[in-house]
Amino acid sequence: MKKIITGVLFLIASCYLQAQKKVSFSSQNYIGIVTGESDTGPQVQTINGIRFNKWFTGVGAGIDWYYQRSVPLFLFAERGFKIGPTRNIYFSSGVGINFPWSKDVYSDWNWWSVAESSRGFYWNTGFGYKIPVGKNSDAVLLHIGYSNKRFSEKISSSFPCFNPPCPENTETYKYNLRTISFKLGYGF
Amino acid sequence: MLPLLLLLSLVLNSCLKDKITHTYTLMSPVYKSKTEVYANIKSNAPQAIESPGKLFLYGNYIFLNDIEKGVHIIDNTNPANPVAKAFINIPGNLDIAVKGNTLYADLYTDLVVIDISNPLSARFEKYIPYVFTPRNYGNGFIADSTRVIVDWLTKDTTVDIQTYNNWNKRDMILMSGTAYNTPQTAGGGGGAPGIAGSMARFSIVNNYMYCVNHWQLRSFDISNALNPTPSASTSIGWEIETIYPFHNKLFIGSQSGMFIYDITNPATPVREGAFTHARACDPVITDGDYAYVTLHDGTPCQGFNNQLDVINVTNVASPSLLRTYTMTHPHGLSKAGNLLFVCDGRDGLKLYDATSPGNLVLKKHLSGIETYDAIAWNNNLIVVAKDGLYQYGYNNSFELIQKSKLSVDR
Repeated sequence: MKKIITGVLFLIASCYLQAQKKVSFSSQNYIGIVTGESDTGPQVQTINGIRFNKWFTGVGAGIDWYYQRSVPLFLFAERGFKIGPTRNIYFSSGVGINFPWSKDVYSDWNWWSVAESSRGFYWNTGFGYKIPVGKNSDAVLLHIGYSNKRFSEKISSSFPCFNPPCPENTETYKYNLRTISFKLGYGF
Repeated sequence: MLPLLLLLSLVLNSCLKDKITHTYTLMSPVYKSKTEVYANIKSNAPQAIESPGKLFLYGNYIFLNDIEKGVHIIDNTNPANPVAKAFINIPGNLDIAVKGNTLYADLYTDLVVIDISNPLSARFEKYIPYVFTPRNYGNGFIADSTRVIVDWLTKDTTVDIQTYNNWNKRDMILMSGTAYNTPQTAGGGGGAPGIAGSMARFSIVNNYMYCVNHWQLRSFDISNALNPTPSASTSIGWEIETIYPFHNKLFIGSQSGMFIYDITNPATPVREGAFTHARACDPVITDGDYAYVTLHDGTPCQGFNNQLDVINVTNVASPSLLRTYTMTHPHGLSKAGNLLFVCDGRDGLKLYDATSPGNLVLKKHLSGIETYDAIAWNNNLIVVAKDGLYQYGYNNSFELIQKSKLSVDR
């Protein structure tokens, strides 16, 4: 994980160093579907940062409903390629932290248990196609990606009993979820 | 769009494997033969207190149940310096009562009789089978009834949910021995040959011992203390929990209310009155005019109240609620004169001025300890807490001074 983060930071830093022409704010906003072995769910994402030359780098955040709703927060980098006068494709990657949305899922139905979710690692990668609209750099974005989100859940139970102290038990679930995504977005 | 996603799912199938692991503690029972277990019911070397349970005060001795393990015999001649003298191994033990030189204890479904004429050299005398309700451990586990569970082995286990999510292959994640439907036994009380806490399920009154299980009040003639003789069984409704004797009455706490039984004829208790209330677990004590009942949640009773009810029992045929006081998570309680001690679970120990039961005044609140049961006797308050056995001196000025603590060593 350290290598990946270092790599992304290096990529961002080198982009800054290479940015000799104009630097501008850019934003990409997506809605999409994530699907994997266990579930299919929607996702929304926004990535905001700076664009220079063929690079775009920034910070992304979203909501991912796959298996259990969570909020990935990640550093992001993208490299664009021109494949025609008005046609562009781009490759992107992000790495960061996945925050579970709910802190205590179990207590909704199991009053003697308390669940505590913990954040985990998150990364994504993929490629996309840009359809320019308007005169500026505005574009409709089609993106196919692969992502991996992780989190864990610790469930502490104090079983009902007549004679205190009641028996206690702790269970841990670790989730390592892999999905592909198809996103439709708008960038400017 | 959807066909494309399905195609991609197939192509990337191996890359889309979720990995979900479940780590839990697996418990498996350790059995011994009944012969071995009975042979070991004797005074052994003192042991560290692991999980303090029921309490019985007898003379200068404290008999302290260690949940599922047995009974600590503690010399309490000097409450400032209690000394653990011996430990009697009684697997599955939750309740105790003492009369004269005889200790009665439950061993899962059996009642065992132990000669403690010399507490440091206790001796197993006999057992009476099937007095109490069998355990229900959950997850379909049924204990081998020909042997006795003496311990549980625990093992941290991690399984892959995807390859394990099949009920036929599941291990037993047991809720340990004291969970649901533990044996319903009882303890002695005021006016009896010893003093029990308010959460007791045995009770000795003169020459009779009364035990409650889930639905029955059973009485035993203990004129010959070493040879209890069953005398009567009375069905008293479901979910009976605690028993507290006062003069010629038994105050029985259940999940649905408090029952009062007359034992003028000790062999055949007769129901005199009942007070029904919200569904919760409830130890009960009385001073003859008023009964004090605690209700708390976090039990199989499915109650969600945490309160202290004061009930007027001057007319035992028709008890009436005097007042309800809100509590945090109350368990056992004890009363000495106008001093009412309430073990309010994780909220500690509370001392009330009960001069006017309809207007209890909180005089002292000791927080930072999780308290379960108490016995107040002779200006000495013995408190069972999660982390040990505490003793306090008290007086009519509502002072509480800690004298000693025997710590739990888990």
